[in-house]
Amino acid sequence: MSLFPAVGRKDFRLRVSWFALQAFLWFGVFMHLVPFYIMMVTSITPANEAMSMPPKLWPSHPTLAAWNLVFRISDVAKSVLSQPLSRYFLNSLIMTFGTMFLSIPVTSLAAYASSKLIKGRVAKPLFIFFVGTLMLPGIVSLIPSFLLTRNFPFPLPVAPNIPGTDIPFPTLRIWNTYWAVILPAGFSAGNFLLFKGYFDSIPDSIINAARVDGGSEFNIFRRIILPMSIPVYAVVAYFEFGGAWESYLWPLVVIQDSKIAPLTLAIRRISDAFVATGTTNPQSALGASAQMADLIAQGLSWNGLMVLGLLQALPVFIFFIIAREYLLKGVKIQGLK
Amino acid sequence: MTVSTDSMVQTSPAPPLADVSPRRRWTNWLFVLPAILFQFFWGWYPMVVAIFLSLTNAPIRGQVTFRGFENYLRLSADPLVPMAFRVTLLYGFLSIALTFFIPILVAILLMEMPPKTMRIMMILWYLPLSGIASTLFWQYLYNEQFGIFQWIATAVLGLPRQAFLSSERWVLFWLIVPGILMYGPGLYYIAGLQSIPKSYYEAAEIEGAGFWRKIWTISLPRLRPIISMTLLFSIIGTLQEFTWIDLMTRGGPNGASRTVVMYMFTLLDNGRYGDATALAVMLFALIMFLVLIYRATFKSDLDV
Amino acid sequence: MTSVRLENVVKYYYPALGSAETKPTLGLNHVTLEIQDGETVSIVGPSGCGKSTLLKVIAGLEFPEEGRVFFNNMEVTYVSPQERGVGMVFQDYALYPGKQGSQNMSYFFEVHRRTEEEKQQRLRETAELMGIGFEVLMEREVDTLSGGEKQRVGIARCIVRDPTVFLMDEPISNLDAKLRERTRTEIKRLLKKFQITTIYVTHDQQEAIFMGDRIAVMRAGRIEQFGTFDDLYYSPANLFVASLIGTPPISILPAEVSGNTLQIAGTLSLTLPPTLAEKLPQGRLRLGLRPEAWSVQPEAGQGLTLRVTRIERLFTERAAFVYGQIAANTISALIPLDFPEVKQVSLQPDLERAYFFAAEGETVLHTPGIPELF
Repeated sequence: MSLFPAVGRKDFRLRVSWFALQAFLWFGVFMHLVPFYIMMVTSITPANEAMSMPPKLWPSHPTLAAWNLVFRISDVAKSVLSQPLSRYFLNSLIMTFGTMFLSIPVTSLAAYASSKLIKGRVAKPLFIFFVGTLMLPGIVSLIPSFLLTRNFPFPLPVAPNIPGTDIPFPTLRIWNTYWAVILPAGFSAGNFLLFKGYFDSIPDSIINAARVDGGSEFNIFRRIILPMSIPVYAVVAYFEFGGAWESYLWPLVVIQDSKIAPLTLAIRRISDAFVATGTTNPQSALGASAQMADLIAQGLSWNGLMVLGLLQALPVFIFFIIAREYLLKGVKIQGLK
Repeated sequence: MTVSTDSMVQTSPAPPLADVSPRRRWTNWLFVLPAILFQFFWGWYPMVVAIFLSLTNAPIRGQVTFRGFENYLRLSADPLVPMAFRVTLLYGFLSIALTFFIPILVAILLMEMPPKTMRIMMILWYLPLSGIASTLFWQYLYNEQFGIFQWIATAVLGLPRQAFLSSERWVLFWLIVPGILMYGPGLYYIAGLQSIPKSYYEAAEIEGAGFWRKIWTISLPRLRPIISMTLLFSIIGTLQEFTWIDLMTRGGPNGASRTVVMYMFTLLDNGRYGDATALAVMLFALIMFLVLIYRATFKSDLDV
Repeated sequence: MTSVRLENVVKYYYPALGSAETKPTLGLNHVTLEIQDGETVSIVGPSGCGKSTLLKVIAGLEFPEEGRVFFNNMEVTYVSPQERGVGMVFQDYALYPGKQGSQNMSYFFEVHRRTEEEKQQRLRETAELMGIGFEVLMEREVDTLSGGEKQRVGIARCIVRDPTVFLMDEPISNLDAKLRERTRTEIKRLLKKFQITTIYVTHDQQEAIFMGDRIAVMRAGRIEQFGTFDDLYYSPANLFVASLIGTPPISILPAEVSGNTLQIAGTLSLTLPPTLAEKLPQGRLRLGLRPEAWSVQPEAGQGLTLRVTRIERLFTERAAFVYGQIAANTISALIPLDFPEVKQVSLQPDLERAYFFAAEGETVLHTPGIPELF
């Protein structure tokens, strides 16, 4: 209550302002929650109602038809989605958890070392090495990274020969595999900053006391630091999960095989089929094969897209609900800087 | 009493990094070794390589041919390129102008609420809504046949039928509207505001400062470094935006929302890897140029 | 039973990330120190003098750029703390959060894979040593403890492992005044009981004197003087040490020697005893007098006039500390005072107990040495 004057609350103008402020804030909250509601409602709305104007608050005949159909798209319309939806969902889970299990240990250990273990002249250059890429536009590494996935570590179509011999360097090809999505995310500069900020706030004396007690640095990290650091790990896990689950451009570039495509790519494909130029017309779905029109006839249109939206939104939502206490603690503790 | 029958044990002279024993130092570096490898191979290495690659045809099979500046020249001659840059800059400018400042205001106003209410609002506000899911949601709203916006425009406001996302003139605007309407408090700002002691505001009030004046003289100056950093990152990020626009409009209509990154993807899709890399380097140069100007004008605020 | 020796230890500080400096600064400047086994040595000095760093070098938490550290004549310069067998108590207690007191204490045993019996036995013994009520304290989670309780656990953690050397880094600085008194007495009691070599770092000189058999005074990375209280008090190596040790502090007055006359603060002139007259150089210098070196002159004319600003009665004796100014120099004197409400006192210095310093700088020209009592 710092901005509003402490006295004179009964004043008419003040009450109006206070009301306006509350209205403004609550409207923002409402706008943030409305999509969830609309998506849920639309997903159980019959197709023709979903495409009617004016929009309704609640469907006259709620139906789970869209849910059913979405999960069977690949059965009916193979040209749109070649795999069952659960496959894409599973791929997203694999990529997301794979990224988390790799990136969080790698990044947090490096942050701990940078914060507590590595001193002297190397400390600052090391820090800049880890964090410098944050200030640089990452898009420039898109194509080189893509080429790297084909002939790691050479961004070339063919590996060069080992000098003096005819033998080409051994290379690694991770293109079009889960690794293509997981490995490049192995280190996260942003999370590094979060971790380091937190570890910096742990008093050195605790670590010194542990060193006097004995054990390797890793043991100290595992037994003393880790139990203390749950808030920051929760926050990072949440961000990492959310980020990896939503990854779009990079999988689009490196994944070609539908069998390992994540949900975001499936959404793109279906969205392509429905929304060519921003309109959806039951009659003119672009590139619609008979299969597509058939699906639409069966009652799949925007309600189906909303189902997809919910599937995409749900996991991160659930993660948030489960971890919300840790998240609030984590945010408060470090003030995020 | 001291038993000193042991002879003096000589050990080798101190290593230069004398803080830790040699063995422990080596194991300390194990902590950072994986991160160093990842950050090198997927962070710095591709960035540096990009410049060299942009001077070649950057193929995925066949021969690598050196092209010099040929890619760049070809891109400069391509009318779609300046168009993409125009779209990118316009989108970036509009996006920041219209959506950057609201979270600051919301954060400041949110601090006025009683703690319990504030906590509820924060939780509700930070319920995660997938950006990708919201593209589906917003496309539904923008639908020209039956979207809510169309309904508001024609039935409520009595306007003629609007084109929304298929309007070449207005598509960028409509792309940004969701960011305006779905406002929320910036987390970093809340953290910053919480560190301001109440007494500052009380003192100002005694001086006769009103609502907006207090914001201007107390809240904002304290937030300045955070705002400055966030703005910089927003600029860098918005100019590279892809996902949102790709899902909403696929770059249409007729390239009216085709940003540089989207055109780059098109080039990639068509196998023109060399051109795509060169285009990326051009965008990189543009963004770095803007960043340098930014840092020069706001020198005092940055800690990195 | 462990003796500790440092030879020529040099340590640099590197500037922190994000600070403007780029050059390393000298933290320890060729420090040499020899501590006998069983004795308690206090290290005292202003903040930033390097005393904590010195302690860390002795502990093995930091390694010096130059110089060597010996335990019992065995070189341990680069040996890890656990292998040196030290125990350490920290200013901010440094207890492992989210764990109980007993868990804090048993961490050592778990890391070194000692037997459960040994651990339990040591825990019991330590609890006994720490006094009544400590078992209860041990079971509580350390985050719930008060400052004093935390420090008790910290001390217990130090002794539970039977260390060769006790290292204490300002252990009571974070406690409130009353608790400080109690805790330091308890620590002293423990040290006397164990007879273990102890190094005690503090910025409070009274604490240093109370705890230590010998005291090392540090400034800017160097040990200014190392000795017993008497050495430092009666034979300080320089003005810094003289001013640091002693409460209330020594009083300094400008003076001048001409012939064998000493003129103090431009007013009182006294004849120098022959030993002093020979030793002191002619010209300007400074005279140092401890509070007990003053006596009161009944008449105003024959002494130095002290303009009184404050009087502190000593309730155990019929005397008081009198603070004031003699010709614009800050003075403290200990005098018998029956009538405390005086505005001025006439004082005469006892030259037998006087210190002499150079007019500029810190050089000592003469110290009285330890007085022969009886």
